[in-house]
Amino acid sequence: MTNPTRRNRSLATALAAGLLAGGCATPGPATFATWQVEAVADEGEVNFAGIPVRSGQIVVSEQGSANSLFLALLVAEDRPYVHSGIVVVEDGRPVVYEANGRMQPSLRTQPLTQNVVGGVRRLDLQTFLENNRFVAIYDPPPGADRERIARYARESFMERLPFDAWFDRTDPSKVYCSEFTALALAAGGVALQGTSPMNPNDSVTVILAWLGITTPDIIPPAAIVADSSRVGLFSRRDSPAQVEAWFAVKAELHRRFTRDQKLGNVLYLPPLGGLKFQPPVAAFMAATNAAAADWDDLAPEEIDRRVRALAARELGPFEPARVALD
Amino acid sequence: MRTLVLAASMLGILAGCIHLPPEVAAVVRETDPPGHNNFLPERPSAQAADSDKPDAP
Repeated sequence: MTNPTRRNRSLATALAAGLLAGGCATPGPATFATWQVEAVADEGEVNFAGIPVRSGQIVVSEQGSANSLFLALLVAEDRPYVHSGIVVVEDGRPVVYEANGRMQPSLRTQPLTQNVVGGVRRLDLQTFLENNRFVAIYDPPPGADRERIARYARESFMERLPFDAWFDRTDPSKVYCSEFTALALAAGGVALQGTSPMNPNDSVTVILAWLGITTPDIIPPAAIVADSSRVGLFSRRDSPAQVEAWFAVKAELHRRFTRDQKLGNVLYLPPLGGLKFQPPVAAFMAATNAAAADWDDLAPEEIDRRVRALAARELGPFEPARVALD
Repeated sequence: MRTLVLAASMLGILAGCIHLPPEVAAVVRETDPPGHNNFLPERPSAQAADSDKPDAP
């Protein structure tokens, strides 16, 4: 039997080592599975662990969580990323301004949108990179007024611009994440590159009606960066192939989420706690992520093909011809 | 006792947080059966077991 004192000491040592590693590690290629910097810093620009950071840059991200997938399925078109924000360099330090909403516990039986609180907040780029599973940074299109973009972001934070859980982009007095980013870019002279209609899926229609979301479309983060050049791709625990595979998984789930499919087929809401993936969906994701650890030499098309093959194995065959309602 | 009251009220808060009306619960808490569910494979073993059964008289 193990000596409890000795075991406790080992545990304490391991914890201390973990805390030191977690607390002191600077983000970079050594601590991230994907740290792909694709732009070069100009002279005098701030270099953050190898990333050339400039005010007015756009961050897009995704957690790969059930909530991320829920948001993605609310929209008719599959697009990468569900969140965005603006990078501003302040006193030589890069920070991210983002519109963030969170659910507040309530005893009332009202739609969840009425329990959402939050607004524009500021956090370190390092924290943003560490707290999001997939992150990409983009430069705004040439000609963008970066200082005006930064000023809008900073002023929105100072004015405590509230979060808009109803995704109403016609009312700028409350903003959701990509609306905030689009407004910041508009302040800098960058026009919005399109929106995505809401998903006509029958169960999504029921949920949107209950939530009181009447907007016909939303601004997808992918549309915000459509004309932008990527500065880098980052993921703490996923390799570049695993990142690519995640977006292929999401695309496949979106493809299968035809008009007749219940949201409950993909996600479930337990009596206590938040949204979860249905077990077969979670198994498909886990199988893909494990397989993708060896896919670093594959082209994106081949990754797509393999993800569809895994989907057929884990979720059953799916042929679009089956779908009568689409 | 205070812990019990706190636990009960926390449970109430959490339960209240995710209360769903029936029409919403029907699409979030219910699933379609295999064959109508694009996210649920039909179980070959169950199908095989069914096909092994003798036909009813």
